[in-house]
Amino acid sequence: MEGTVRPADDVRTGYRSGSVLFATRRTRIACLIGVAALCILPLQIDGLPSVSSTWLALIIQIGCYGIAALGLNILVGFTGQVSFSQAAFFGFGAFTSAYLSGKLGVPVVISIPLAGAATALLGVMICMPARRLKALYLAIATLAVQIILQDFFSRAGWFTGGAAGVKALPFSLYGIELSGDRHYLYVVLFFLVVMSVFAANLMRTRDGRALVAMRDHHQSAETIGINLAYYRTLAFAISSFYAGIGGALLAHHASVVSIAAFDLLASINFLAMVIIGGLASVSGSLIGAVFILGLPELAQAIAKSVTFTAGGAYLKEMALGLAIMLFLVFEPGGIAARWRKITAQWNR
Amino acid sequence: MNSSHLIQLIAGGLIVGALYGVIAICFVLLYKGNRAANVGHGEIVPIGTWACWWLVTSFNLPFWIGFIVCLGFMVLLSVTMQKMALRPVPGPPVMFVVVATMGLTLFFQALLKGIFGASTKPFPPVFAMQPVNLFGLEFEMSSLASFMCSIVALAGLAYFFKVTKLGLAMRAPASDRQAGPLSGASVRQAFALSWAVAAIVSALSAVVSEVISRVPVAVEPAGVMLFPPFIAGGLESISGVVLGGVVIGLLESLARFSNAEYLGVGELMSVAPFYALLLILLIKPFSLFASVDSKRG
Repeated sequence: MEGTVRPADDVRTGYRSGSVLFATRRTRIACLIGVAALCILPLQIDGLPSVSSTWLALIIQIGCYGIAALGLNILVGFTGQVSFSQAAFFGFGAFTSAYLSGKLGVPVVISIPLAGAATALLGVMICMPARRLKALYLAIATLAVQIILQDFFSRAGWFTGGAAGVKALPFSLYGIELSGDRHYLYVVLFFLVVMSVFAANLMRTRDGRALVAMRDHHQSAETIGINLAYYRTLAFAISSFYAGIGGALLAHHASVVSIAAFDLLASINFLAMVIIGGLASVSGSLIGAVFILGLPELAQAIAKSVTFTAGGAYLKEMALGLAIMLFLVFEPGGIAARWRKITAQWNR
Repeated sequence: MNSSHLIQLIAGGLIVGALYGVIAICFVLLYKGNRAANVGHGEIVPIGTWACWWLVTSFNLPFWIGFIVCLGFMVLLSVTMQKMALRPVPGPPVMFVVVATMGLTLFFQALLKGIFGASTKPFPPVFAMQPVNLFGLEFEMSSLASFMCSIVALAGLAYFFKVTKLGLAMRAPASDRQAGPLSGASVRQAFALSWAVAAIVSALSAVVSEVISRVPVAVEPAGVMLFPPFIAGGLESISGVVLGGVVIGLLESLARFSNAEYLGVGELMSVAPFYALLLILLIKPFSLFASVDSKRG
């Protein structure tokens, strides 16, 4: 797969260097600086300009979608299974957390991981027919799952609140309410860092290597003793766990969750994030989320100066479709692979 | 009362199912010819309808001229699409093609909405509207014509692939990548031809489904609905896919009937095929009519 192709001068001399958490010292420093910058960002210090609430909301959204995209990347990029149902799982996580905290009185701190676990369980259940399937059959099966879950959402008014949506409680910790975006950013950041480190770490373990082996050549993987059905289920469970966490985080940020956000188009959006950002790359998933969610904002900012016609509303979807296709044809590794090539060129 | 209603619905299901079968054949053609699952093919169908609608209403062309122009346009479009979007990816993993065509789908869907607006528009009537009485059942003239078209299309395809030299030349590389070209059949020609034939068939079925059944031209795709027959019938078997289409059509009708009579849960019929699809895959992971080769995929 193109996503794992490394530049020519990236030579590895031992197994140890293949399983490091950060590829270079520079990436480690960049990651730490990035996290530190996000920590400082919401602070309001006198005399310094503070970041506007629209930007904060956008960053939080990128975090939530990014977590789900990361989960999808574990499934698509590392395991090589297409899934068209990530948005449905994302929505299931959101509704579950809203339901647990709103109707059953579970604290939001606990309801978010619980929603992740419930979504993972759903993923495993749905994977039962899918675990024996290969390639195209699996893709279409997940498409069917997306349609069925979408239908379930629109039917189960007690769970999703129907067309009006359901209200989710704000996040609170030890009785302190962390409802404002400025506080909530830290919650999302915490989950994002934990989930990213988990994903990066997963690929250093036996299980992670088994997933990659299954992607690269499933017959060989089976021959050396990798249980394909088990690992396929595992990948599905992890991926839907991520989707559930991301969805739950988004639910408690947006406070109103409605079914419209979890349709097939949203699932394609998730795939677009993974492909444009970079298949089989942890940072790539997050870059993809920034790209897909940031692009409309950027387009809107431009559109404010240039008045668009009514057809402009569809320009975004058209651009998205075109971007997916062009990336697949010209740079299947996504932005992350391109970045790796550029830095390799630079270091020479 | 009830039983006659049921029979009426079953007949309707057969008619719709035959149409599904015809459209799903395009998937099979493309899959066999290119090993490419064109997920976006369902989206091509409304393009044909819109083109025909536009020609007929804005230029007041007679229906059949609009139809023929539309056929030519569709062939051009899909051959270009194949050259541009899918050719540069040599022997791609299934995943890439699926997602690339999904991107293409998104693009075309948005383009259509941008050009024609998101609302539905009525197609001018082509056939007489009065119902026809046949075997004690009432049919719209249009749905009978649609059924006839499906049958003719199926027969035509069968003739093309079984008898004509061109059809055989297309099947050869599809069935054996090595032996086919050795016997003189051109792979490139087969690729392009399979797209062209798929385009013609889909344009035909598009116009048939929308014009003849008097459904307003809808942008919202029926594309997703075509997967259940395609998968249920196996990826490579034309007769299997037609059977799958008929089964899914009947299933929709039965779901509508049982819903109206007993269940009352609302729009069950649009989801029922997907439940059936999962069930089929649960029992037979390689669907009902899969060849040995596609199991290895």
